[in-house]
Amino acid sequence: MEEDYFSLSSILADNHKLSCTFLLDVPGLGYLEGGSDPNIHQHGKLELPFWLAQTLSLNEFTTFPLPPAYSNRVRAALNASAPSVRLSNLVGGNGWWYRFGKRIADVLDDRPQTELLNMLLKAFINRLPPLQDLAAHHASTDASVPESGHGTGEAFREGMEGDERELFGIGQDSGRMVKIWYDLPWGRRPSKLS
Amino acid sequence: MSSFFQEPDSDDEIPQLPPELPPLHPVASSSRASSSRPSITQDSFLSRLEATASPRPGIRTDHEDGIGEEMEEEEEEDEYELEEGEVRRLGKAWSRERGTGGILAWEGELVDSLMDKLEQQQKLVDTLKSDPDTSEEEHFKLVLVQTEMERVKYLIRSYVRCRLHKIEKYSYHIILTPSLHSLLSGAELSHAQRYTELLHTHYSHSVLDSLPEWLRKMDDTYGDGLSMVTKPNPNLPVLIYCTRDCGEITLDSGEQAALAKGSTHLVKYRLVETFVLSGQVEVL
Amino acid sequence: MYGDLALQLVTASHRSTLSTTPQLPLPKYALPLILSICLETRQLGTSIASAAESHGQVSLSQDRALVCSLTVQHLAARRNKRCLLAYLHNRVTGIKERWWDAGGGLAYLLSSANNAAVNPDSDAPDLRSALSPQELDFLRGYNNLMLDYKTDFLDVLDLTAGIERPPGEIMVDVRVVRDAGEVVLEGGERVDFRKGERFRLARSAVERLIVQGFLEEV
Repeated sequence: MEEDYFSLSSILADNHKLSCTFLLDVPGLGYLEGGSDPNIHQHGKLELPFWLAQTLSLNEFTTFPLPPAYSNRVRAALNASAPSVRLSNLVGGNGWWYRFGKRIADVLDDRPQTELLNMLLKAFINRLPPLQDLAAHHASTDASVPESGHGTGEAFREGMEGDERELFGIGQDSGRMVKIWYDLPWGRRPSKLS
Repeated sequence: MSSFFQEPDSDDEIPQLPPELPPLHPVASSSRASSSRPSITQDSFLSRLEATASPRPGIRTDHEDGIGEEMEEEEEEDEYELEEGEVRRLGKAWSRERGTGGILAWEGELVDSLMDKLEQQQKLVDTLKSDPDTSEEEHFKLVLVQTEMERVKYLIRSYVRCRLHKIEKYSYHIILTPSLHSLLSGAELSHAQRYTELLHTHYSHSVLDSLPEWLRKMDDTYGDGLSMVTKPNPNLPVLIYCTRDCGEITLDSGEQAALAKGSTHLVKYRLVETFVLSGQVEVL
Repeated sequence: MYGDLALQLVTASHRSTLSTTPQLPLPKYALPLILSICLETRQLGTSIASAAESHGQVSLSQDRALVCSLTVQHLAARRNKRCLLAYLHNRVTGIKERWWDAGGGLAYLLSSANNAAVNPDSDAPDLRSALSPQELDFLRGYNNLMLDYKTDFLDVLDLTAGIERPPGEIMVDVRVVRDAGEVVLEGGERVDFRKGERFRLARSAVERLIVQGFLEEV
């Protein structure tokens, strides 16, 4: 999940919008709002994509609160049962919750930064085992797994955010490849190397 | 052990070949009349086959040193055989290259030596194959020799291509960092240079030339730390196996991890880089 | 809004990279979109330049609102550049992949025969028409680069032969389905592949010809 200039995922993650408050009047910037006012006014709030919000905030033209996707409410839900939380739509449809969270963390002060990073890490660690299980299951059959409790089965799959979905795909593919390899007669076992 | 060489028709199953074929021993003396051409003696080949209990490449056992010694003795006899030691070393280099994110040193001597031997052995095989006096049994053994040759070729091919992939991925970075140049072969460095130019030309002609002049560079670094130049990430984890005791390392979380002989770890590369480069741990 | 077009480009590109198997055909080069984004970026550049000129140094350091306004334009321009390059970069990766999959057979890669083999039932563009002229140049350049690199190894092994799996059987029986003419195999052997003839050869030597459809395994 490194920040790669050429990474399409990173670019898309950076596009998620934040609610920003302007700290000054800016004539002529009204087009950002898309409305009829040609100017931005101090204390005016509008939604800006992160790639704008980050630099504008660092230069103290705007501020933004911690997005609701990383609020205490979400943290509490994750602590209760991480796989139950639908991360998929917290940062826009099929968003990138971890990546975006990391970008936000980069611009926070020390303490809120550590808290946010810990939340991301804990969530990831707790969601990974069910993700692997589900991927392994899907590798061997194409049947859906019914929900047997909170945050299991297909409901969990639908709640996966962008990077988790990619991991799931990899897990599924790997599982299939291993199965193919095992089923081959001895003496003729190609191993698919990636 | 009943040798499948002596009873080729009795077994319907595919014979169990050992995981690693022993090198073949073309020896001047033979059981046949014509001694002017090299041939394969049954005895030495079979005894090697039976004696082989080769461990998986990458995992050393107590036998390792013993086999190494054996190799040295035989080496003088015939310079054409594919040294098991060399193949194994390339296997390890291959594994290291595939398992790590950055660029490692080019094993030029090793590759050159193996290529030479492959060439020699191919000539030998061709000679024997086209000779009408070659027995059916010897033809069969030739198949085994060729199989091993194919495996070694595969290894070289995969090793070279893995490096090429990395070189292309980090080409700008390589060009901009002279200290890395010694890790590459001459051909690789030249490739990095030419590939970077090819890419730059492509980007320029496609879009950069149509953008304002101050946007045309390919090596910018921006205020938030984002760089246009892709570099290897030293924090990528690597799966390692400790062939000997390497003491303890401190993880980012503050915990200690003991790199004891025989243990396996998944750990950030930069924490164990020195051990990987020195060969004290192997990359799986 | 600035950056919207660029977002379209990236979103479409990302969608096409999502499936790993089977490999989808490379989509057609989005020339109109790219031209529009370049235009937008040039306009941003002009706007910034003229604002800097008309306001002078003092304003630029003291008028916070002006700086904010210019910063937004600057960021938008850089964003466009990033999106454009990411789009190109990802396509380059796809192009190289296809070159290696075709065993380095450039002519085959660009031919319509390859297209029929790869996507038989779609009217997706064949590779040649999906590429921009610059991408075609890149492909040719890359092909030459790799041919040069290969020659160091060629008398012993063919770098572009498959590495998907370690070798199994050495020999393979093949029948020629299309004339391939005289071909120099790995190791220097010359074979004349005429339609209908059968051969028993080393798999490594003819794998590429099988992939390209000249030979058929029997």
